[in-house]
Order: sequence, then C-alpha cells, then structure tokens
Amino acid sequence: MKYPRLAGKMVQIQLNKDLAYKANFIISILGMLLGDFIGPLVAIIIYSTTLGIPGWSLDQFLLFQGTYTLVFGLGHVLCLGFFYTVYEAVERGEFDKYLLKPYNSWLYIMAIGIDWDGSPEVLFGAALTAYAMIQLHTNIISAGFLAYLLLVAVGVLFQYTIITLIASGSFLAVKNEALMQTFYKLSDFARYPLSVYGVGLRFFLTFLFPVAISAFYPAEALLRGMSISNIVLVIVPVIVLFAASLWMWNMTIRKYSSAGG
Amino acid sequence: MSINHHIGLANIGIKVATRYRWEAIASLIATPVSLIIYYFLWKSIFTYTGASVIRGFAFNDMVQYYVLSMIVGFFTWSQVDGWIENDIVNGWMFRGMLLPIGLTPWYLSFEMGINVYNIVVQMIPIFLIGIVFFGLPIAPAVPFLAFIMSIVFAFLIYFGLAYLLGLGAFWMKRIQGLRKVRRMLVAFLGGSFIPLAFFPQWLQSVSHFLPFEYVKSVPILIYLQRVPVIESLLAQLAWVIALYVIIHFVAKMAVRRYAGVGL
Repeated sequence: MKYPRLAGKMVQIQLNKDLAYKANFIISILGMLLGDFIGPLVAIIIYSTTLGIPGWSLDQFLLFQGTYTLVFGLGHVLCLGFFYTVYEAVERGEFDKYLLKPYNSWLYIMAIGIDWDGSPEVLFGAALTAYAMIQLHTNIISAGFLAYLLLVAVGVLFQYTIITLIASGSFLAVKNEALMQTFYKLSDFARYPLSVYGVGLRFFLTFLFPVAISAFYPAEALLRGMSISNIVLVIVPVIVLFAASLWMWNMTIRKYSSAGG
Repeated sequence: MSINHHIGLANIGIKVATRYRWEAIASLIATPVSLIIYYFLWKSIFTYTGASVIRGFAFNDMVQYYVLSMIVGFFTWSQVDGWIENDIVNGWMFRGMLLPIGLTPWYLSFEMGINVYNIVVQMIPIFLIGIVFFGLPIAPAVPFLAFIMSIVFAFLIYFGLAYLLGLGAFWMKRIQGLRKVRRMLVAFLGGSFIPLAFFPQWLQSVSHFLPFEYVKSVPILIYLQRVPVIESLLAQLAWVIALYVIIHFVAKMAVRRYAGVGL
C-alpha cells in the first residue's frame, strides 16, 4: 500500500502547486479538453462530407476515439511522469537518490511520477466512450464489455512498457527525449482503425509495435466480438514486451554512472 | 539597428536549435508517419465513398495538401511564447531588455535563426520526400514565388500570435494553458487536420475573419493555385500589420509591469 499512498501524496503536492496559478490551471484544463474535442470534431466533419471510414459508423468511430483518448490519458496520468523523472535525474547525475531508497526503484518512481495533468483526457475519453455506447445501445453486462475492459487494461500496460523502455535508454544515451517524440508520432497510427492500413502495417501494429491494442482491438471486441484465441493472440506481444522492458530496466540501471550529461 | 545585429541574434537561435538536433532528427523520421497515416486514411475514405472528388479535392490533391501542410508547418513554427514564459519565470527577461534593439526584434531574430535550422534539417528533406514519394508537383515559377512570400507572411503572423500570447506571461506568469489553446486553435482553424473546404459553410465564413487560416491553409492553397494570389497575399499582409500594431502597444504595457524577480 505504500506506493499508492505515495502516489496520492504526489497528486496532492502537484495540485497545490498548480493551484498557485489558478488562471493558468483553469485555462490548461480547457486547453486539454479543447485538444481532445478536436478529434471528434474532425470525425464529425469527415462523416458529414463523406461516407466515412469503411466499416465504421460515426458512433462506432467516436467509441474508437473515446477509447484511444482514455488509454493515452491513463498512460499520461500513470506513467508519463516516470520517463521525465528518470530523464532529468540521469541528466543531472542525481539518480543515486532513488537507488539509495529502501524501495523498488521502478515502483517508487512510477508512484512519484503520477501526473494528474492527464486526468481531463481520461475524463473526456470516458465521457466520449460512454456517449458512443449509449448511442450504440451497447450492453455493458456482456462478454464483449469484459473483453473491452481487459484490452483497455492491456493498452495501458503497453504504455508502461514503452515508457519503461525509453526511460531505460536514458541510462545508456542520457539525452534520449527525442525517442518520446518518436513514440508519440508512431502512436498516431492508432488514431484510426487498423482496417484502413495495408496488411504489413496491420501486422506491425499488432505484433511488433502493438499500439493497436490501445483502441482498435478493445473497440473491435466490444462492437463485433473477438474469440478468446484472438484476444490471447493480441495480448501476448504486449506481455512479452512488458517483461522485456522490465528486464531492460534492471540491466541498464547497472550502467548508471552518476556522471550526468 | 544593422542587419549584422539580426544575423548575430539569428546565430544564437541556430545554436539553440542545434542543441535540440536529436529532436529535429526524430521529427524528420516521424513526419513521414503522419503522411503515411493520412495517405491510408483518405485512400480508404475515397474508395468507400466512391467519389473521385470530395469538396474540390481529388485523392492526390489531399495527399499533396498534407505534404504542403508539413512543409509550411516547419517554416512557420514558433514557440516564442514558451521562451518568453521561461524568461519571465526565471527572471531572465532583463537580458533582452538591456540590449539596445527592443524585445520584439530580439525574439524575432532569435526565432528566425531556429527556423533557418528547421528549413535545412526538416523542411527541405520533407519537400524532397513529397516530390519523390507523394507526387508533389513543383509549382511554376510565379506561384512558387508567391508561395515563398506567403510562408514568410505566415511565419510573421504565427510569430505575432505566439508573441502576443507570450506577452500575457507579464501578467499571468504561467501561460502553458493558453499556449495549448493557441496550438489547437491554429492547427484546427488553420487547416492542419483537414482542409477548410470540408468545414461547414458558416465556419468557413467565420474563419476568413480570423488570422489562423493565413498561417497554413492560404500558403498551401497558393502553392496548389487554388486561391487568387494577390488578394491572399494582401490579406496576409493586412494581418501582419494589424498584429504588429497591437504588439507595439501591448509590449509597451507589458514591459512596464516587469519586476525581474522571476518566480
């Protein structure tokens, strides 16, 4: 329980800091909501001028977008701060302070790296998903919804995986912030259903860089159903990568030299 | 103030930009990703809709639109509001104030230096990628020259908007929220996500009276020879003049508030 308690304290401190500049705080939330709102707005414009994306009605696509925003919002809240905490500490040669604490360094930094800034994204994603579900008369007491929740959770696990991998890279390259930028750019593939891409990209986004787990597969499971074997098939690459990321973390942390960069 | 002063300040901008060279390289690698996504997305939409032209755009026009959108984006990029906020928060603004050139030229030359770097490392490579892989035609001489003029005006408008917002930091100190809103508004109403021709008619009409479409959509459409050149350039020039008149007065008020203590 010590890690969740620590995370709670960090959120409190962060909130107090943010509230010192109330106008900026309120505008920040509005800005984030506006940013999230633009995706659905563009979707509405596309669907009002064309037949839209093959196999996806507007409401289905809004469900897809809501899921994407929800998963990336959760990633923002739960693990984005992890990377920046590690990156800044390594760059300043101050990472020793985390190694000296009687805690598991990965869990400790994950706990203090909680960033509540992403919560408007989470709320917006959840609201958009709920709206689309109501429009689509989705039954939430169903196997499809359970599969949806499971795949959303695995989508968040993928966020942990990538952030851990990139943060591990900080011990080797020190200044590797550009990799985060590349990750978010590559994640843009997940903004649209996998069905719009060619076979090679579908394979890449499912098994090699399984970012399709962030929205496509959960939405697919909810809307059209997925067999258990297919669910396992899309979950396994994420679990393997997650295990590899933890191994990488433990390996690279030994390379830390306290030299800064 | 001589041109040498501007070149000196631009050199500082180039040096700062080279500090972020890995970000620039990552961005260069990542930019084709956006093009690939838009390519597949619109290919599937055009096929599904069964129309060869939607809102005046054929599939190839759409692809070229997005290639040009990236090119214009690299040229007009500015985060002067972020620099101003940083200087205010850290109490460093006095550096610019002590120089006998004025704050606006100081930041403008500095940002131009950063953009020179962006042009070489990002804009020109994407232009070539666009020509080789995405069928971007090389515009005839006159529209091409008009395009160059237009992106210079577009940069001045984008910089002006960001700078004006940055001056807000003299009052609010922290302006990350406003910066987010600015980025989103410029991207959406500028036509970064979708050409403005797809917008409802009322929104297109409103957009003509806002500066955002002159930052991205207008230069792209000039290159694609879809808008009257003289009229468009004059409209951009009018926005440049209007913005810098406003900046002149707001900057005066802002400087009077500065205490130099940071946070």
